[in-house]
Amino acid sequence: MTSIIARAAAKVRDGERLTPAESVEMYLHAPLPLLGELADVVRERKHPRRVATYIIDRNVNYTNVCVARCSFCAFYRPVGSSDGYVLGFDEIFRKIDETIELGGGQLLLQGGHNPDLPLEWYEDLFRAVKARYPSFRLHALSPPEIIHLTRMSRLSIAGVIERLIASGLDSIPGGGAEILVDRVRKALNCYNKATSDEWLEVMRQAHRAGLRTTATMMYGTVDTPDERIEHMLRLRALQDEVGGFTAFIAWSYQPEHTELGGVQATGLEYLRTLATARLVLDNFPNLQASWVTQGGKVGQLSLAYGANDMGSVMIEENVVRAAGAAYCMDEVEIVRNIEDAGFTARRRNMHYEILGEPIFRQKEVRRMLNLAVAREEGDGSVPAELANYPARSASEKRRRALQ
Amino acid sequence: MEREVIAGVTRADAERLLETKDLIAVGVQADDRRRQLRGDNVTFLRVLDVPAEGPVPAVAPDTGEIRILGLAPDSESALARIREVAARAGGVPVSAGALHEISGAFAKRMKAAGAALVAEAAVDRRLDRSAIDDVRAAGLDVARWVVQSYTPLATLDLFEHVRALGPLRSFAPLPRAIDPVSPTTGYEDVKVVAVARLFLPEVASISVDWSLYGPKLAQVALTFGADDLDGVPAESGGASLLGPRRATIEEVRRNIRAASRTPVMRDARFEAIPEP
Repeated sequence: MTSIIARAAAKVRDGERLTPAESVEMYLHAPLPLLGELADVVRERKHPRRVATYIIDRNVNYTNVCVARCSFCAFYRPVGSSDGYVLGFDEIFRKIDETIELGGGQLLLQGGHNPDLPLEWYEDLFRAVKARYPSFRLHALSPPEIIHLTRMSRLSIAGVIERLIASGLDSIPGGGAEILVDRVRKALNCYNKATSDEWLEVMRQAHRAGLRTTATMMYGTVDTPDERIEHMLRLRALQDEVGGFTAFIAWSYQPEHTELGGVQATGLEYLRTLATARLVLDNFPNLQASWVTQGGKVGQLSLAYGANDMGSVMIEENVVRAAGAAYCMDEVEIVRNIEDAGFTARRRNMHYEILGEPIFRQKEVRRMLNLAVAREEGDGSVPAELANYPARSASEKRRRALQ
Repeated sequence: MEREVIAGVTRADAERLLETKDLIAVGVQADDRRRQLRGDNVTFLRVLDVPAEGPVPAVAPDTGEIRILGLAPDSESALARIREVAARAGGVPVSAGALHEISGAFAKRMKAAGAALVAEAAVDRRLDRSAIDDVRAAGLDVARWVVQSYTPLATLDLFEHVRALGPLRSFAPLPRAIDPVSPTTGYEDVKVVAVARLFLPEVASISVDWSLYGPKLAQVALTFGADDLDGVPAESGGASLLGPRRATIEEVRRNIRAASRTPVMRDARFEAIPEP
C-alpha cells in the first residue's frame, strides 16, 4: 500500500476530505476490500442505524424522439422516425394510476429532446397531473432537457425552471451528466445537448430556486479514471456551493445497440467506483445502488461498498433496457435483498424522508416480475393534444398536413 | 512439489461466516486462502452444450468440453448420441449424464461409446463413495461437482459431504436451480463461495458458472475465493433468467484480468489449452 493510500485511508477514518490527488490514487490503486471497508465507515457515519432505503416510483420516458443523437444512447429515435413516439396525457395518467396502485407516489419523467414539444406542453402536462393527483410528485426533466427548453423558448435557465415549478415540477433528476468533462462530452456527441458547465448551471439554478436534485455519472465509455474523479470533484464543489443534491447515482455504460458500441465495465469496476464516490463525495448524504444496470446481486453487494439506498422499484424502464440491461426487482425483491444484507428496509420519497415500512407488508400488492415499457410494440398512435402546439419539425408538419 | 497442507475452518467458524453481515471481512479471508492454495491463476472452461437429440452443432476452436444435455429416451439412444457427438468432437472431451443416474456397467458402455466424463455430480443427491469409484473404475471422471438446489440450513452439511468424498479437482457451490421469483441474493452467493473456499481446502478449485450467474457476479466471486469459471459458452450470445449474456472469450479474459488475476483456458480435465 502506498503512503498516499495509507494517509488517505487515515483521513477518511478521521472524517477529513480527500484531495484530488488522493482521490485518484485511491480509485486507481487502493485494494478493493480497503475501499469497501472505508466506504462502509462513511456510510455508517452518515446512516448509523443501518437503514437502507428505496423509493417506489416509475421511470416514464414521455418521448423517444431526440435531436441530441448521443452516440452512447440506444433509446432515442431521430425526428420523423416511424419508431418515434410521444405519450399522451391519458397514457401518462394511466401509468400514474398503476404507480399509485403499487404504492408509488412519484414519476421520474424524462425524455428525448423533441422539437415538437414546446415548454407549454410540459407546463400543461404538469398542471394536468397536479390537478388530478395533487400530492403526486414530479421528479422530472434532467438538465439537458432544461437546456433544450431554454433554446426552444429563448428563456433563461432560471426562467424555464421558474415556469416549470409554477406548473408543478417538484425536483430534477440528475440524468444527462454522463461525465462532466467536455473532452468526453465532445467524444460522445453530447457536448451540444449540454456542456459540463451548462449541466452544473441548471443544477445551481434549481437548487437556488429551492428544488432538490440528484446527480449521476455514467462511466465506461471513453472516459479515463482521472476524468471520473474530476466529475465527482465538480459535483462536490457545487454541493459545497449550493447543497441541493440529495444523492449520487453511478452506473456503467450499457453498450448494446448503441452507435458507440464497445464493452461494459465489469462488476468489480462498479463496486470500486461506488466505494470511491462514497469517499470523494463527502458532502453527499446518499448513494444509490444501480441494480438496474448491475443486476440485483451486484446491486445488493453495493450496500457493502458504500451505498445506503437501493434506488427505485422503478415499475417501468426503457432507456437502459434499450441498451441491453433487462433486470427487474419489485418491492418484495428489493426489501428481501436489503434485509438479507443486514439492513432495515424503509420506503422514502425523493427528499429521502422516510415514508414507512414496505407497502406489501401493509396491504396486498401484486408481484411485478417484469418492468413495464413506455408503449407496447407496434403502438404508433399520436396523442390528440399534440395538435394544440405548433409543429416545428418538417416531419411533424408533413404528418399534420396529411391528416 | 507437495502442496502445503492447509486446514479448513471449523464448522462453527463456517456457520459464523455464513451468518455475518461483514461481507468484506469474509471476502478477505477467502481471498487470502485462495491465494495460498491456487495463486493468481483463474481457469475458465468453454463448453459446447449439445441437446440429447437433433443436429450436432459445429465445434468452435478452443472448446474445452462438449456436454450432452438432457435425457435420451432410453440407454441405447443415449449411447448412440454419445457415439455421434464423439465422432464429431475432434478430440474435445465429451461429457454426458449425471452421476446419480449412472451405474458402473453403464459407465463402461459410455466410455466405450466415446465419453470422457460424466457431465455432473450433484452433491445434494447424497452420492455414495461406491458410485464414484464405479465410474472412475470405468475410466470416466466427473466434469463438475455441483449443488442442484439452494438449502441455506444445509449448506454446511453439503460441504461436509463434499469433504467426505475426498479430494476433488473442483466444486461449484452455488445452486444450479434458480428460482426466478426469489433468486439467491448476492450476499448469499459470495458468502457461500467464500465459505466453500475456507471450509474445503481439499477441493482444488472453487468454481462458478459464468452463464448461470452472469459475468458480474462471477467476477466478484473471484475476489471471494473462486478461481475457476465453468460454463463459458463456446459460442457467443445466449440468454438466461438473470439477464442477457454476452459471453465472448475476450469478455471472460477481461473480467478475470480486471480482478487482478491471470486467465488460463482449460479443458474438462483441467488441462490448460494453450493460447493461440
